[in-house]
This record gives sequence, structure tokens and C-alpha cells, in this order.
Amino acid sequence: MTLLDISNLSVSLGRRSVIRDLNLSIGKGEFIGLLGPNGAGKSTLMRAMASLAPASGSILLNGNALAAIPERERARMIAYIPQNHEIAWPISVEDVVSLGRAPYRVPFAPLSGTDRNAIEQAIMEMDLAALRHRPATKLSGGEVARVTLARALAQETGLIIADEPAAGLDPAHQISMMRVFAGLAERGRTIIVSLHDLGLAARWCDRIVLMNNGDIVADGSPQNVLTAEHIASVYGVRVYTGEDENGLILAPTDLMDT
Amino acid sequence: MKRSFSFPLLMGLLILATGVLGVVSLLIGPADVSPLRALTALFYEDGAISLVMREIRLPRAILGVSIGISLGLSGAALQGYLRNPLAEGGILGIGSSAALGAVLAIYTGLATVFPLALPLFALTGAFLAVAILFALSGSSYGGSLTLVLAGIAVSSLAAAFTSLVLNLASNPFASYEMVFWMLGSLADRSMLHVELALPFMVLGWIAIGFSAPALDALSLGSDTAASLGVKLSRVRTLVIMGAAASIGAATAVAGSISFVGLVAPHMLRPFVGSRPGRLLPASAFGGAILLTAADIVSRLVAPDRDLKLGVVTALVGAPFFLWLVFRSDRKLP
Amino acid sequence: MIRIIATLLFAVAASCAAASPARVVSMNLCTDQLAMLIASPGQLVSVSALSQDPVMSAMVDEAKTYKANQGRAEEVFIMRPDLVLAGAFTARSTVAMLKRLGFRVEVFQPSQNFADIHTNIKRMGVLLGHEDRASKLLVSFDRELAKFASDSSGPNAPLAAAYYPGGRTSGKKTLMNGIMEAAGWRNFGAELGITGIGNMPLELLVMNRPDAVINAENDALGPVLANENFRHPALLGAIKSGMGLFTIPNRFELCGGPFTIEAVRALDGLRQKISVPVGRSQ
Repeated sequence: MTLLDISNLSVSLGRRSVIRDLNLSIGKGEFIGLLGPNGAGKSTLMRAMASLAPASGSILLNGNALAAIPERERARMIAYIPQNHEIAWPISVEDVVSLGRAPYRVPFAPLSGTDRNAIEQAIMEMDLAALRHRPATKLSGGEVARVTLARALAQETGLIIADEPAAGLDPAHQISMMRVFAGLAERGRTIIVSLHDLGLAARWCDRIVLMNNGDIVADGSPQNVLTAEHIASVYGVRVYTGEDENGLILAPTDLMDT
Repeated sequence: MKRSFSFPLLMGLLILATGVLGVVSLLIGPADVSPLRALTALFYEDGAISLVMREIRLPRAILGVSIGISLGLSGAALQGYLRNPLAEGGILGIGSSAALGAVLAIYTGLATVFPLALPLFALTGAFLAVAILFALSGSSYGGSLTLVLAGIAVSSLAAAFTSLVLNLASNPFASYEMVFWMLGSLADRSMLHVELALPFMVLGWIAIGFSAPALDALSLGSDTAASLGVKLSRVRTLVIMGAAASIGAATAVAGSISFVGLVAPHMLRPFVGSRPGRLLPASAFGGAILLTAADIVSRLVAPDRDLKLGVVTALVGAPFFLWLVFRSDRKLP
Repeated sequence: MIRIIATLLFAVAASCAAASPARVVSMNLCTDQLAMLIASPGQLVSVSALSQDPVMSAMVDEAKTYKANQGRAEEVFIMRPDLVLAGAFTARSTVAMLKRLGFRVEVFQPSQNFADIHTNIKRMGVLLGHEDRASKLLVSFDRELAKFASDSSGPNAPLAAAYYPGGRTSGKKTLMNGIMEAAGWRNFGAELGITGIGNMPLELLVMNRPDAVINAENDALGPVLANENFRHPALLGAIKSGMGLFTIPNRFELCGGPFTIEAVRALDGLRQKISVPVGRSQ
């Protein structure tokens, strides 16, 4: 069943046209890896999907025009994790996660029981119980990533859009994060992440959307999209492909022209 | 710290301290009256003492508290919205711009004919300054340095024009009043001033108050806040209007007072777990405490001279600001 | 012997010439007005521009018949006076310059009371060589002054306070103090112990509920914050007579001279208006 239906999407940043006439259909429960070189338009596409960038064309969420959905209602359906995990003040981890409940809370009212449950669950899921009262400015990169994801989880949305969530994380944290996403997708949520790590995307995502220069170049299973030809033409690198019982193994080896 | 300070306890203490200082403010003055008699004279007719209490000391105390609230509240709101701990009405030139508006209203004679012109002109001046600063903060250049530089520019420009207007005013004594506009004073303010300023200040407080939940969400950046359902344009309007109204009205009757809006949020931020929403009321009363205390100090230190409020707040605030700049300089990108 | 007689004759001749200067320039509002009253026609050559200002000067029409000066050394130099009259607050550098250039400069202190007015008028008479005119002026001055306030003095006199922009008042040793006394008022500023012009906190003024508050017309110059206190509800409420501020025109209280009587006259009239007549036959 289609969650997000994007047709004829065009997005410009200033005078520069970043995305032209893009079509994409996203189903419920999919774990999508959005790939492409720097400047391909991945972030812009994600922001348009989160209704954060003005776009022409049509984006339908569950059949309704995205732009027409009121902000708070939309915030209960789509959670967005930007690339830059900025946290301006040393607020506690628990307070950051609580901010995920903003779309549900009555202004100035205390947290409801439902709110507290969602927050607790998110903290447990992301293994943050020990860090609960730590000020957010005193966290390591991996911890910040977990906290930000916990915030998105507390939002209890059907769709989570994450822009390069694995950036700057060590291998263990990268894999943990992908595991969490995969688990969420299995339980019915739709996940769209953008990645630079071809290996991670190949192994964990069930669908890859490959972009270049504002267009979708290939769309399908990792095996079908992440072929040597596609990777060479989009990224300009050679890649070593392997496979084990758990999935595809992909490793870029060298630049194309050597 | 593991557990944060109890918010109701904090607010209770702050409000209590504000009340105490307000009462102390009522008891200080050149007239030699016992405290008990002074306070009773507020409510019961007691000849000249009632006149002094109701028409001289009471408006001064009311203005001290309400202007302190305005400065503390708008400082916290500006810092929350701009996500910048150096943001404050005085440093960013909002006070100076409001002063320019007020000076234009008074020395052209407009305010004599149409008293409301005073707060309205001051509000407009403040509004223009805030709008300029917000426009700058939207770009990727809106970091601390740009903001403070812009504030210095706006402040200098406003002060220059204010001097010009005062120098060219028809009454030659106008030039000497520059000090009032730059440093602020509550001396001999009457209930007429309270009537002119308080309604606008209260409107400002309400506008800022409504922005509290959004400021919390903005801690995570504007993209995340928008994705959490915050209407960014609405928050911007609330904070701009609220800061302009409260700082504008305050400046119109007391001149430009710096640093209160910087120091109050900073001192109280650790006690509210750095949450911008809760910082608003805490900082409001923190500001009231600071300003009323400054007014009391200025009357105790120099009873027969009008020691300007800005002198006292600057003596505390400027070193504090320096410390902040040095501290944040090591952390800023 | 002849040399001694010649020296003596020369000295006498010289002092006769000094006795009545032929060209006099006045650089100060107060000396302007006294000089205009005492000088003979053609003796006074120039007065300061201030004496042509209707707000400041009690003798505007007269002053307009003279050439105005801005009080600068060059202007005065060109006029080649043999006597220059200046006030204590005339720019010291100007006075010093004129003296260095060889001009005779006589500096007058501002009148702080009626005795000073006497002294200044007499001295003006001597300097201009018209002591007789000065004496006549003094006689009529004293006669006029004697008409006032014979019935009001001491602790029974009503209380007045002078109130200037910025919350200042005239205490002891000021002309305003002298005017108030002559008109039968007690001066609050003097009772506070202030000498000269000093600060008077609004609260103290209000607490003592004066019968009248006196100021000079300040609004005429244009709006300033310092004038706001004149509309302060506490001030207006404190005045016992409920009459509001009583304004004396600037021109009558800035300088000491015969016109000062006008200020006394005005204040005396005010006093009669507000006080309950006690033992007066009128």
C-alpha cells in the first residue's frame, strides 16, 4: 500500500534547479536507502518529502496532498532527522527525547501518560537509560545520533526520514543504527535513509533509490541497483561485490580510471 | 547535575524575591518616613506622605519590576529564538533604536500633543532593529560574531541619530539629556508614565509567552522544529513583536538599559535545565530582581544625585559579558 | 617745579578722560541692561545679542536700537571701545584675550540679592561717569521696593519653592531668594540649607506642601525631558493652594536691576491672592 506518492516533483534552491520532474512511490514498511554522490539532490528530496522545502509537483501522503495537511498533524505522520544534529543548549537527554512529543502536547500542559510511555519506550529502544540526565552537549557523536533517533521514535510516526544518520559514527554504531531501522521497518514503519556507505546500504536496505544530478537513475533491490555499471557511472569508482547468507557485501576499491 | 532544580520552587523563590525587592523599593527615598507609615499611606489617606507614596514611589517600583520583567523576558526569548547566548536587547541595539524613536516623538513636540506617540514611536524603532537582526540570523552567516557585529552597527547608528536629534532640538538643554537615553533612569517617573508604558509591555509579555513551546522545539534547530509541527513564521512574529513591544515601551519611559536581558537568562539557565520555554518566566522575574535591585542601589549609593540605572547594570553586566565572550569563543564554530 | 605741575595736570586730565568713557561695549545680558539705563546717548556702542531676545531681556525695545555683539573678542576689538563690560560667566578666554589686547575690561558679579543690585548700579554709575543717574535709579528702586510685603515676614510667611528643570532650586544667596523675601515669602530652598542653585528632591518638596511653586517659563524654548517634572502629579498635588505652578517670566529674574521689582510685584500679588488676609485694612 502506497504511503508516499511523488509525481513531477521539481525543487529549486534559489535559482538553481536541484530536482527536475522526479517520480517516486514509497510503500508502507519499506526500508529505503537513498544513495547518490554529493550534490545529487538527496537532502533536497528528503526535505521536500518532509515538507520543509517548497516544491512544485505533487506529493501525496496516504492519498492526501502533503502541503494541505496542517503542520501538527503532519508532524505525527512524518519524523525528520536532519544531517546536522544541532542541539543549542545543554538540555538533558530525556528533555530532547520529550521534544519528540511536541506534535501531541497541549501547549503549557504537562506530559500526559501517553507521552511518558512513548518517551520511555524510545529511551529503552535506543539504550539511553543510563544517559537520561546527561546534558546533550556532553555526548559523543554516537550518543547524539542515538538521542536524535530516540526523539524521532518518541514522535510515533509512520514514516521516518533520516539524512545521513550514519555520518561520523564508528562501525559498531553504524551497524546498530541500521539494525534499529531494519527492526522498525519489520514492525511496519517506513524508513528512508540517505547514506554514503554503499556497503551499509547494500546489506541492510530492502530497496535502493539511486540518484544523480537531481534524477533517479535506478530504483529497486540492492542487487539490481548496486551493479558495477551503475556504481561506476554514478560514483566513478570500482567496487568489489560479494555475498553471504545475510546479504550483499559491497566495498569500493578504487577510482575508475586507474 | 542529575536531577534539575524544582521548577515550582524556583518560580516561587523568584516571585518572592521580586515582591520583597518591590516593597524595599517603596521604602527608599529622601523623605524621612517610617516604613510602616509609608506602606500604610499607600492605602489610607495620610496627606503629603500618601502623595509621595502613590505618585512618586509607587510608579517607580511598578516600573522597576515591569521593565525588569520586559528586559529579562525579551532577552530570554531572543536568545531562545536566535539560539545564541549573546543575544540581548541592549547589546543588539534594540534599546538604542527604541530610544531614537522616543527621542523623535518627544523633542519634535509630537508627544506633547499626542502622548501615545511616545510609546508607539519607541515600539517602531525597536521593531525595525529586531527585524534587521532576524533577517541577518536567517542566513548561514547568522553566527554569534555576525549578530554581535550587527548589533553594534545598529546600536551605533541609532545612538548617532539620537545625538543628532538632541543636538538640533529647539531647546538647547536637550543635548544634556543624551545621558538619560543612553543609560536609563527611573527618577521622578509618575503614574502617567506607567499608564503609557505598562499596557504595551503586558502585550509584549503575552506575545512572548505564546512562543514558549516553539522555543523548546527550536533547540534542535529550525528544520527539526518545523518537522515537529512548529510554525516558524508564527514564532518569529511573536518574538519580534513581543520583544519590540516590551523593550520599546520600557525604553520610552526609562531610557535604554543594557545587560539585564543578558545576565538574567544566563544566571537562571542552569536552574531550568537550559529549557528555553521554562527560562522565559524565570528570566522575567530574574530581570525584575536585577533591575529593582539596581534602582535601589542607585538610590542608596548616591541619594542626592540621579545615578543612572545603566551605570549600575553596566558595572555588573559588562564584565559578565566579557566573561561570556571569552568562554563561548572557545566553543563556537 | 614745572615738571611736577605738568605731571599733576596730565594726571588730572587723564583721570577726567577715564571718568567718562566715550565708547562702551557690553558683553553680558545683565551689564547690558544696567548700562542702557545709565549711559548717556552715544556712550553705549554695543550690547550682547541676548538683550535683544524677548524671552531673556526686560529691555528688548531699547536693546534693539544698539548694535548687537556675540561676545567674541574680534567683534569687540573692531569696535575699539575704551571700556568693556562683562559678566562673571562671560567666557574667560574672551576676557583674557581682550585684556591682553590692551582693553579695559570690568567684570560684574551676578546680583545675588538686593544689596548686590545696589552695589552693581552704583559701580556702573562710577564706571560710566554718571553717578548722579545711578543714584536717581537707586532712589526710585528703593521707593518701589518699600511698597511691598510690610505685613508678611518670619514664620507666618507662606512657603514657596523655586523649581527649575532637572529638579533644582534657588537657595540662599540667590536673586530669586531675595525676590521671594521681598515679596513676603519663605524660600523652601533656603530652609533646606542650599546655597546657590542646588538639587531639590521632589519627595522633599511634596512632603513640605508649599503654598506655591515658582518657575521661570521653560516650555518657551521647546520640549525637553527636564520640563516633564512640571507636570508631575505629585508636584501639582502638593501645592496647597491648588493653583498649579506660578510662572515668572525669565526676563524679570535673570538679572538684577530696576525691572526685578516686576518679579517682586508678581510674587507679592500671588501671596495676597492665596493668603487669608490677617489684620490688613484692605
